[in-house]
Amino acid sequence: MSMLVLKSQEFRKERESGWRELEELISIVQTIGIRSLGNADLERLPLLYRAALSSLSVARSIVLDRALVAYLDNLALRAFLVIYSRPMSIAESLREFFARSLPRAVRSIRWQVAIALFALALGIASGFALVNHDEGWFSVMVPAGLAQGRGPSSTREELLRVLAAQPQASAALATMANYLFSNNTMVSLLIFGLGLAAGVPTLLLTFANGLVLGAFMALHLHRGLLGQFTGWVSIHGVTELGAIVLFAAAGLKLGELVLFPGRYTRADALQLYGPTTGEVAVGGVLMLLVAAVLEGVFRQLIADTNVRLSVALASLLLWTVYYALTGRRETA
Amino acid sequence: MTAAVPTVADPVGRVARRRRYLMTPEGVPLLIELPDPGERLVAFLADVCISFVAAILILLVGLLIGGFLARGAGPLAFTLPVTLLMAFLARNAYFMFFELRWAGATPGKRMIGLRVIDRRGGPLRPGAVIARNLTRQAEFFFPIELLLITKGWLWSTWDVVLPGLWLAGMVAVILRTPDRLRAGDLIGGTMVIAIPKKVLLEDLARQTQQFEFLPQHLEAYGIHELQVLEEVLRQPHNADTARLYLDIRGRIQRRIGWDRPVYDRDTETFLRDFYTAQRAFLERRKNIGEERRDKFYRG
Repeated sequence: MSMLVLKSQEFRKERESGWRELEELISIVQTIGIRSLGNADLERLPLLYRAALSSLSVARSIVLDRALVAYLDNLALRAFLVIYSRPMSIAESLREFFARSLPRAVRSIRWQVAIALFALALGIASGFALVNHDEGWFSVMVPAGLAQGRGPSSTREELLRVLAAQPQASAALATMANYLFSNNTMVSLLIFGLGLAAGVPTLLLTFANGLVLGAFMALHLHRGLLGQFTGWVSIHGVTELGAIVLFAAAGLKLGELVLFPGRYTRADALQLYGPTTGEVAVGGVLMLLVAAVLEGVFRQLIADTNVRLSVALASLLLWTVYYALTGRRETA
Repeated sequence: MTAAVPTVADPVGRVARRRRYLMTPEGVPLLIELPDPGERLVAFLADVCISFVAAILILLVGLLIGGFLARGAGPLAFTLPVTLLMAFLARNAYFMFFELRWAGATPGKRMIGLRVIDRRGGPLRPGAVIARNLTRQAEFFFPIELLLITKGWLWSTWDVVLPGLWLAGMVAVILRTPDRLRAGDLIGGTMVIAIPKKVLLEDLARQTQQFEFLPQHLEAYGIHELQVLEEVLRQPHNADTARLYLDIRGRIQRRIGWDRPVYDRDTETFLRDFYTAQRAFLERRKNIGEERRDKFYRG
């Protein structure tokens, strides 16, 4: 019979109780929640976590018992997640997102927003100028699905009928739900995602969106309906175009990261700034939802062009103030 | 920031998951494991089933109430839009709710033992959770929907090919990125990891030994062989392991030149004692900076 002293065995004997205690606390937090811990336990948790990290470092260098190292790896990771990756309250997360993250993310890419706005404005101006000059351009620029029979051959009365209100609740709901699943979101996400191709498709799609709007405006101008049309389209259009601008700006940021990753590799640059663009895109989706409600419900209920225009102006003002001013304070 | 760790097959033959290091704010790299695509698929399908059932229940209750309130007003007009709205909510709100509330786990993920974490080791941000889940809509649900509503499989080729290509591309993103990231993970800055709970196993090293090994007996093997022996000794005992023990004992005896007799009934004791002595020896050597990785080590 002989006795061998193993450093790793001594090490385990010394520290095991701390690991067991930490394990106990982790399972309480994971099953019942962190609120169930008393003050003493709450103070112990980070201390035990750091002790486990130090145990792990030591174990990696002196212990050859694989099971022990694997256990410590697992324990440290679970403690790490308990401490750094807390469950979030839904209300608090939403508040945090809307009151800080989203407007900050949008402000952080303000130059891309400016470029996207410019591309959109250029599209509107071009579409307007071309159709104003020759209505034949209309059918070239506006896809049949969007035109829905409207075109150079439409009379004033036909166009006016579309612009009138249809106060039917069920129709409104159907429009709205339909809207959620229509290609709108898909196209917008495409504008965003294609930003990865150096941002060129993003700019083109944004420009094309502007073209369609400009073409419609010229068509209605020729029939003396520009005022009514602007009211009809802008009550939700301001919000919808705002969403498209956000998607485009986020897409342009992606394109910029791909073209000029700076001192990072492309993958690292995307990893660093990708979440910001993702947040902006989420803001875009939510704006599309708001636009859907405005189009589906309010436009059907409000027939008066002046009221429609005021709603549009108010929405423009609100979005601008929201994105420009919210969440500027450094707290929290 | 994560860094790749070479994938090692388990000594006993199981293929280990892919591994990465995740740096904590304290500066200690933690070993994390990536789930197989199959595990993620199972978790995802479980979540889809649960949320689907929940949506149908909510819808039934809603219809009952709605039908009761709007008696005679034709509840059918509301059915379709409400159904679509519920589907939209179930698909998005379900995932977001649980990933926020349960810190990166959904019921399906919890079942399989998966978690969503921030790729840089920071806290999981609400924006990231919302982004990675809304993206799923465009990644998988839209194209699948397009495929389902296609009426003619034979004559509308593009209706099938385009969503199909899109889906294939999205799956390719998962399989081709080193960290098995979904497009939503790329945008949200997140990744999915597997954390099975591990228990602390007993120490195989014995306090007292019946067999005494001399330093020259212990120079034949390195850390790799020691840990293979550990795996074998940790397997549950049965007739197969008994035979395996005998075989291993024979090999060890020959290799280290052990000339004294060992009874068959002492086989396990011999192996445990050898394990203890070998570990003590290798740990001492490691302590003075001499890491004997395996039996091919030449000082």
